[in-house]
Amino acid sequence: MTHCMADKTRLDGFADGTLPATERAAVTEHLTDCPECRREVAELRAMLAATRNLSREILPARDLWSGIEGRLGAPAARSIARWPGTHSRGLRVILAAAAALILMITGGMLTTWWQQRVEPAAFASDRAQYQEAAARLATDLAANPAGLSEATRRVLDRNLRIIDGAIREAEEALAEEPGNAALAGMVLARYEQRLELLRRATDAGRQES
Amino acid sequence: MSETVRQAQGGDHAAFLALYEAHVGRIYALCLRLAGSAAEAEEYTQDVFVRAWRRLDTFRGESAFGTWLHRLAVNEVMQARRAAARRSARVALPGDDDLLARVATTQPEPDRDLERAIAQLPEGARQIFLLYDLEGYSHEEIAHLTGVAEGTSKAQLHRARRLLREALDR
Amino acid sequence: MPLRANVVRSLALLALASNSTALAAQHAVREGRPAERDAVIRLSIPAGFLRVTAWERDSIDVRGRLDGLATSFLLGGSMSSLKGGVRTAAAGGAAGSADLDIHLPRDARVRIQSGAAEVEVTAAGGTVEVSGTSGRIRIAGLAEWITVETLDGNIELAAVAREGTVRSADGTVVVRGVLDALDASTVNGSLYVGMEGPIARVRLETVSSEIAFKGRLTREGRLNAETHGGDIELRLPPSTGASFHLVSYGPGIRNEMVAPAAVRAGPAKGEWSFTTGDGAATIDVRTFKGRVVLLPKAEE
Repeated sequence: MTHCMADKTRLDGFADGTLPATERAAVTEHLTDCPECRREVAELRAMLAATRNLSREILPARDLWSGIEGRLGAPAARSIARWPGTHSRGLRVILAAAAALILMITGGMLTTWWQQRVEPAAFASDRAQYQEAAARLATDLAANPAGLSEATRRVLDRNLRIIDGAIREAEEALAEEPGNAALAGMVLARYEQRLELLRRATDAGRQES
Repeated sequence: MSETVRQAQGGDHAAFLALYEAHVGRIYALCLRLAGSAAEAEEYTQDVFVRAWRRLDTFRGESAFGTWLHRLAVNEVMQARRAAARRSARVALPGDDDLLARVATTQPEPDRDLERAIAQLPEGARQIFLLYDLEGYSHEEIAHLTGVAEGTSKAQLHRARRLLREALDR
Repeated sequence: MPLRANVVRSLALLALASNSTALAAQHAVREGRPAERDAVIRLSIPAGFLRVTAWERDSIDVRGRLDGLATSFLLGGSMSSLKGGVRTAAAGGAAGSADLDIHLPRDARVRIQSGAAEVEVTAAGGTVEVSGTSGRIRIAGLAEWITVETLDGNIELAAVAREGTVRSADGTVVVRGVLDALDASTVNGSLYVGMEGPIARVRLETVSSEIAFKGRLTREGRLNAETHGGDIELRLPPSTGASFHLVSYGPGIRNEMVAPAAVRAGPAKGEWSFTTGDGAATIDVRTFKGRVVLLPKAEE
């Protein structure tokens, strides 16, 4: 195939309309004789048109506002004033309780997570165990807020709300289809995530104190 | 100048939230394509809005708020990319396509090949292509925003278009 | 700098500060000590930027700047076990921040408490553990295992390791490289995983967003992915022999990878259970509101 000697950058300018008028005539004349360059101009125009048609809006996969709001005008997060002595003992107690609960529950739950089916009889009691464990952790955290900085508290609350919303939706679906073991599995997975988040936040509190 | 912008300038978080919701899609799309990574685009998007909040008082209504915000975003992202390149040699393994995963779930099918080809351009060429052919900035403006000479901008654009055509032809 | 001088300086700064608004004092840090090649090294920083890089020398080197009031960098320990940290002298006030560049022996076992700092680690062996509350964390290079945990921040791994464990809550997770096992979870954020080699165990979990996995499993490998609000996209070699269990309670599945005849719906609504090839691997993914998308990955 013979390669046209035409200056490709001029073709570029011709295709997107930025070539000065004085040079356009020369290019037009060349195009009447050169199918290769004609094809190139056509392809380029098509590509530029397709580019201009690309979507200008893409939504992020997750909500970014909360990460922005926390940085609007507020001063750097300060650790909440700490209660000497009792606070750190209280936090140690919480951590020990959390660890014990996780061991007790996940010991049984671990097989459930990997399994495809959740037996209905076991489901109700498993869910109850999670709810109780999470409630206890949440209460302990609320009673001892000094362990968490304000920023961490906000992250925790934000993400708990997301998980709780998911739990609500999954539970509603399960209520309409109580026999659906896959749904039951998803509900339990959300509870496990909730518990895991509380444990990690408690750990973070220990790191911050 | 719209009432919402005025209120946001007065320190109203709720008004700024309204501005965020109106413009986040546009800004995120810009950050995603320029950065080539969904995780970084999220961070840039947040940085852009925080910066916009801090500089709101400099917006006088000479252009549309969206235009002003967009320019600020381009500035912010290009600066950040330059700083990141100076600061760390990030290990980038082949197949950096979380951008494509994000794009693939949100864009219509016919555009995906073009998006993929754009995402795989070398960073400098990609940025100039996006700024010129997608966002409509002039070479002079691009030179100003990226720190390259106008001539370099034109050469990079030509190179990007050529690489794209080759990729699409395959 | 000897410990005593540091303490004296901190106290002096504290005295100044109590009479005036916070000084934007910046002091340079320059510390170094010999360390064994596989020393255990613990580092802590409350905020700022921390870059850690492995090098060929049997020593640790710390350079950078401390900002804010009355902070100092203390480095101590033995050649096999070292501890270095940014200290804030004033209790109950805002923590100081630092911009630090640290070099470590190549097989060091490093554990970082990163607070609100942004962290970048390039490893060449050893192990990496990072635990923070906020700020972006990036780990690259080679390690035995890598564990990263934060509450508010994106996490990126680009590494070759036996095991990777990644936890965020408010953050997107991106993992690239070659791993034998990966356990990654977040709450508000997506998971993007691209593996360059076969992986034996993958567990991916989020609540709000999507999961995209590209790679291949070992013959008896297991892949579990769980999300509530997002799609799950799996890009696997079409020759994958596995027992599939897909759950999409909402929109359903889109299959472009497996022969359509092999896909079976059921037993329950929103469930698809089927086997391909020798069925040796296990693929178990669940999403409540999203689709499950199976796409072919080109064979290597």
